[in-house]
Amino acid sequence: MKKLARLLNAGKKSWPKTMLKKIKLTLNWRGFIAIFGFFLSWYLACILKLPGFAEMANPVEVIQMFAKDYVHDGHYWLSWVTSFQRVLLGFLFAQLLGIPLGLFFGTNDRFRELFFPVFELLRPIPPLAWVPMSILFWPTNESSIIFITFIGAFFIIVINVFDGVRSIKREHLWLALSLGASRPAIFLRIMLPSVIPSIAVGMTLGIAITWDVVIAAEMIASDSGLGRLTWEGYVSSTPEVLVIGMISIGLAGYLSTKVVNVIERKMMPWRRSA
Amino acid sequence: MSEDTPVSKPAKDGIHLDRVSKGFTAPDGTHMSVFDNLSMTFEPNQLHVVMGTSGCGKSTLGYLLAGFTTPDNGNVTLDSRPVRGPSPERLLVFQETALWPWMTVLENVIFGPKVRGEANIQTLRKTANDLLAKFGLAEFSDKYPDQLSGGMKRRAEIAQALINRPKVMILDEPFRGLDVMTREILQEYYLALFEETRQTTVFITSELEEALFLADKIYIMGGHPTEILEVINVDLPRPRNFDVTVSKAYLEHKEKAIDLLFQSEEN
Repeated sequence: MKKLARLLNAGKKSWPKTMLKKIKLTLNWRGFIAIFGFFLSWYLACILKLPGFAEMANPVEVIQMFAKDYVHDGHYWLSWVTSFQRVLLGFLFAQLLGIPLGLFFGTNDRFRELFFPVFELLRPIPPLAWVPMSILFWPTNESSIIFITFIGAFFIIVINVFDGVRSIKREHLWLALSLGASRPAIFLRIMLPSVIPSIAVGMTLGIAITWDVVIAAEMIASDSGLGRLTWEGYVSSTPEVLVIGMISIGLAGYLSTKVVNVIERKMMPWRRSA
Repeated sequence: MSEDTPVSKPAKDGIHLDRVSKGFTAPDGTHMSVFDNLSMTFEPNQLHVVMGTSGCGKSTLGYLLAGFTTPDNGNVTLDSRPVRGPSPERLLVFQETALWPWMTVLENVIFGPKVRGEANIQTLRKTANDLLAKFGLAEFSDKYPDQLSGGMKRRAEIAQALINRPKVMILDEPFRGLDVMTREILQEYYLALFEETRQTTVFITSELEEALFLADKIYIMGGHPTEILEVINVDLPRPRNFDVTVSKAYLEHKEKAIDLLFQSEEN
């Protein structure tokens, strides 16, 4: 019996692992070709001046300009810092206010009845529609951009946490009640952990939209940041800068998502090895 | 929420339902009566099986006993005291796993005594680890529930309830959804546990073989509203093992039970 079980288990474990390895290898090999092909077509399209590509910078020009003027340029790296600061602050405020509000909506009927309609009234307004009002309202440009970034993530986080509270398994609460847990214990040890996966979803979606919003807001209403850098590339007719800006933004978003993923895994140790 | 303090003493008078009525309002506004003036008794130190087709209100009965819902009319009493809300005296093992996935198996098991502040953590850990070892889960106490197989989860849940020394254990189709082999192992396992502790048990199931194998007494429920159609006293000798399922007495019981079930289906 035990031997049989071991054999079965061994089979279960080894099969997907080797399969996965194979899949990964093929993906990498094909992926490299695809990426190479992408840059090659971009390069050729620029050289051959295909329709729409006449004004475009080719990848070689972009790399040259990046190496010459940007790698050692303090101003360029400051744009990174500026944008990251805005994203970080907007994102943090959205978490700090959004998580408790979502919890209140989910746990307190009276509070929800009173404030949820207002929340739902404001939620469909896209974050960028807040730009003019935000500039009027906030004393500094910086605070208005952070506010818009905050708006981008805030509603998503509240809705996710609220939904998380509502979908807590009845059995999970009942079990705690019948074992004699107090209300604070139920909140801290059952409700909060139940909501953590929803908070994580809100964070993943939130960080993505935060970058969207910060870049657009910088193009409209700021003289700094990666969004502004990209816009200046367009305004000053230096297409290389425009591409450097775009790639930087892509990288910045990718890095932020990675960091958020690491935090999420730390928040949910029970998911790691499941 | 619960006023009752956990008591390790066995139930003295058992659980009584006294003319209990319970209904629900359907989404379209019509009232559906699940129980109407239902009276029944679960005697101390007996293993009662409640059997019925799915949707007949077996789970609702379990929830009434555990105090998760209250009767519209009538009373549920444990040892002559009315049941008010959930309590560590009456613990229910849910149909689908209710282990908290964010706690390790050990944390799940010690949750009850810990939140009630019954003993220091070291003592609790020791008690829980001993219990887990008894349930063959010694190596799994620091694992999370999702790392356990279905059968292990069920054992962990039974341990999670038992550590509180409840007066009554209610098991709501606990082995449903497990493969046949695991299921039979767990049935034998639970039976041995019961025969050792004589823990007053209400075991809800829809499987006749499981009922006959485990029970002292089977309540067959059915009808609209749900009532007791038949009571079968299973006087097979204890301790039992699977050999009993090929004994003459078992087969006679089974035949009789199938006849009763057919009759109740026709009515």
